[in-house]
Amino acid sequence: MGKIRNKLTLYVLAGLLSAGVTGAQAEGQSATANDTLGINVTHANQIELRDFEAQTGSKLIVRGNPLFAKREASGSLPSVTERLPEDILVVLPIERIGTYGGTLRGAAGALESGTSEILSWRQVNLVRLDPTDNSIVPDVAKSWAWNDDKTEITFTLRKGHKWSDGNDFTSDDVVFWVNDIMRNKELTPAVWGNWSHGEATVQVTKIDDQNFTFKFAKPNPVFLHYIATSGSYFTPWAASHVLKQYHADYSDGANAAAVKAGYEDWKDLFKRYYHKWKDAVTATEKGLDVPTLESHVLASATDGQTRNFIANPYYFKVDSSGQQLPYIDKHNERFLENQIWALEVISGNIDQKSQNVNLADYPLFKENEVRGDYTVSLDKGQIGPVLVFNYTISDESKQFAYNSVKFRNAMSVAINRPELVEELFLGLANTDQAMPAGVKFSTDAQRAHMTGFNPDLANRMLDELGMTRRDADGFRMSPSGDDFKIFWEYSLQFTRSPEFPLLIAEYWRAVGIDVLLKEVTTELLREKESLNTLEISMEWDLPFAWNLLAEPSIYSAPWSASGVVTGAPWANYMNSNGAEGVEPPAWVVKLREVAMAFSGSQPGTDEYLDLGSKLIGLNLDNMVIIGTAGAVPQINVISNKLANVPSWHLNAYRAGMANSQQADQWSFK
Amino acid sequence: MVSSQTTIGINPVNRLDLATSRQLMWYKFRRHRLAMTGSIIILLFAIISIFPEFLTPTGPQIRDTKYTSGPPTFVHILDETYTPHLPFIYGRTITRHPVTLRKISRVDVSVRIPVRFLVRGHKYKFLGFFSADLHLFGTDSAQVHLFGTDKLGRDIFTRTIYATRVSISIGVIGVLAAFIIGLAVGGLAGLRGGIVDSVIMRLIELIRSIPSLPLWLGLAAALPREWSALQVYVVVTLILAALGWTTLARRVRSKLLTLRNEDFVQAARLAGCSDTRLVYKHMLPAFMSYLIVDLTVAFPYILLAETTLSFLGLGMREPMVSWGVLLFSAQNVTALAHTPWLLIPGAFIILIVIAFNFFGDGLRDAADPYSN
Repeated sequence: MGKIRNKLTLYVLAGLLSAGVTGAQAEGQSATANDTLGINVTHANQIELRDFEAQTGSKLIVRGNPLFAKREASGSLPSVTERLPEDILVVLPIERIGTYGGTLRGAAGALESGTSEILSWRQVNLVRLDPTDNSIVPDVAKSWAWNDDKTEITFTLRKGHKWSDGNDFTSDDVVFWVNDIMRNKELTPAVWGNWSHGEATVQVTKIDDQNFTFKFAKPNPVFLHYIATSGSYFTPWAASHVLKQYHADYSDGANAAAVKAGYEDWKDLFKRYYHKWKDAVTATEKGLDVPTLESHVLASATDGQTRNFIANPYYFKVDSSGQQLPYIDKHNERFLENQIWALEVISGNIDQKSQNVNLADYPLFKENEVRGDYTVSLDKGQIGPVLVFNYTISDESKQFAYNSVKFRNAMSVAINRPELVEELFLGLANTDQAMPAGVKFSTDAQRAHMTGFNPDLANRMLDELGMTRRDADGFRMSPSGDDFKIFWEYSLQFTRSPEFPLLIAEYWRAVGIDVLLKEVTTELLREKESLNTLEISMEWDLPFAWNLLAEPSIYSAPWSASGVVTGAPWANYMNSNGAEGVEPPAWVVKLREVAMAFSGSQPGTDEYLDLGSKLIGLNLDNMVIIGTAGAVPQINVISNKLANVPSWHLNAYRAGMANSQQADQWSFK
Repeated sequence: MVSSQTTIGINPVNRLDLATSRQLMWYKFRRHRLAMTGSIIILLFAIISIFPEFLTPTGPQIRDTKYTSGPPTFVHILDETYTPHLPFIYGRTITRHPVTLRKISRVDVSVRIPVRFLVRGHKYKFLGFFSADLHLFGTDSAQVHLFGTDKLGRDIFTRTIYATRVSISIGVIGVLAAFIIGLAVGGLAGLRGGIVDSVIMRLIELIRSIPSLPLWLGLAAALPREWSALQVYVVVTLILAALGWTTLARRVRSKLLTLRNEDFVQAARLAGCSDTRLVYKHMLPAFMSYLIVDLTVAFPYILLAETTLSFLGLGMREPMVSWGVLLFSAQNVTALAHTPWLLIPGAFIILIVIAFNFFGDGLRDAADPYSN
């Protein structure tokens, strides 16, 4: 049936064409993802302009957002045809051809608080994840080609692609980023994520203005998935035409100028204009001077209350009717107290909110759906809160416990997971132990490892550890007879529920381990993590198979791709080849070896499955990451006024949050 | 008794003419209805603070996992057909709404759970010394939750009663500490005068000029994180006292300055009275009543300060429960919309603050018994 209809449509189209109508882009006739009008898309709901025109048989006439009409008329902005690249990316909107205008409203706790959606509404990267089947589709890069052993990848950029200030975006911007920012030890002391795959920083070779090659030390089959998911937040390019003047390698006076302007040195000023985490730059007025390729650009200097973006006139995508994307004119994000979000959401004052919303607010949101004119869904989320004890804690009186598998196992089985899931996560999560998601090599037995609620076993283990003496309040003391208290500092960003620490502390007190609780900021947590003084870290994100391959340190020392979760001195030791830090125990070394071997293996092979299974086994045997709840759904509120919002398949940090939901083609109805 | 005998005489003497000043104060205070009500409420709160373990059916950290986020279970004496029974509560079950997933409590009128008095329940240390398990009321099977439960199933009634002890004792200790500091410093300033007086007065002005909220925030943030809830409790009390003594010190000083030149003081001084004796024996009693009024006014101030600090998450911490800590957990929209009973502790605060204000009002009127 579908085929016949498509054929019919083609005939109709052909008829229209021969009748002299300018192509398939007449209003109401344009192709969408839901009804492609016979257009054979090569990647998800997008297609290169040349292929699109070849299929429709006519030239696509591009039109710009009327928002820019004044600037075009005054001559300060070139016409839309001059602004768009030759190689335009044509997007078939999900439901309908959108209309221009509107402001997309969001909310976050504060700048840089890990609570913001606004970056994922506008960000772009070389490639993008298509969330329907987790495949990789082109974005800024038009195409790419791997060599045979997947150590080298050559990207082709779009000819005529321009930065938001009208300057050309070329391979030079990528080369500048690799050679002068990432490989510059002063600017980047430690290369992050998959960019140092095989323990050597990526190398880049420029072929011509549109073509360049990345070369890795080892086969890197998940590289594209990395830059589409957990690496999506860090773009592999930088505006060299703006940044070179601040870079000491390019400008002799850079240092003097920076010092004169009141900065410590050129690096200090450079970091104001460039930060791998883009939204750190938009926080300052400097963000206004830095062009971008994203769908929206910073509209005014960010203040303590709000952050504003406006459509990028040079954005490289058009819809199937020829309208330049994005449809939505403005993005506005307000910084509000966490508790105020719920009130704003139910009043219909926020168009999309998902990050860091407390799951317990779901009933309230659901009851007010009609009033607030939005739809709330429970997306497939990530893991619930996890607990990682710091084995190498600088307070040595606690190492006997935190560095003991027995202690960590006892803490795990002291937790009543079914009750926790029922009371804090609406009964919707599972009770799995913490481990990678969606991998073929994990077993049910592994997922159930040390998750059964067994206070007797916990007590026995703690007794065996020598913690038999009790203080006046009945709490266990350390074997040497000193008071023992877990001092647990937490941030609500990671606990997911304000009651989570209270409940866990109750479970632990019930087996005689006293807990002191203190809520602190995420910033302070990270500071203490790096100083090795934090007792419990919760900043571990569930890796998917591709993350595990791309960033093996998520699942081996130091158990984080960005910071340190536990064992900071061990990581220092390994990174400095023994010059600094503390020599890690044998199992940590072994785990690291397995993780590295795994990251170089080809997905699906026996070697991959075997190493993956070992990786999980070693982590579980040592009870590194104590999981409390698995697959906790993520609340997602989407205004009913928005069109073209795909149904969310995956809503997780390591899947790029809303980035893969194509906010550039969302439109107000 | 004296007055009743004298009224028998030929010339009936008004009992007021013979009453001591203390008796006069009492007569006057008793006529103040609101003040009497206030003092009864204060007395009740005092009793609650002493016996929370006995007055509550469970413990502040004990979770009723079958009844989480549950509304208050009212105690009935009439069933649905208006047949009288001994006090009972209906059986209740908590389920989730199939669509909104909200917790809903269903009343099962076919199940009546009798509420008994003086029942044996969970063990506690009475006054911190004697092991006991007797509770004023309770049930055999399902729990009675007069004020409902929180998200973890903890009984709000029990927690509010326990919090009364913490909050009231902070008020009492804080006020006493402030009283002692105020008396000593104000006394010193008033008695010595001169440079000592000037320095102390400038110090007081300095302390009073600091905006209180930022100061609390700063002091509370400076508390070492490793401290236990009890240590924090003591220090928070002292911080509040350290800020609360200034009004009292000024009052003491100004009174001393006025009294210093009174004839009876001069007489005492000429008779060779020591300074200390002069103050405590002759001057203090002359304005003690004013100080007591000040104390009663200072009490709600310190109580509210503690509540504010804890509400902001800077004062008391779990597992210590104060009224502020209880309200802290109610400060989100879902809690307000779906579990409004979490706000009941707020009513206690209002009640005690009003009671103290009435009480202070009555005292103020009574403090000068010769005025009328």
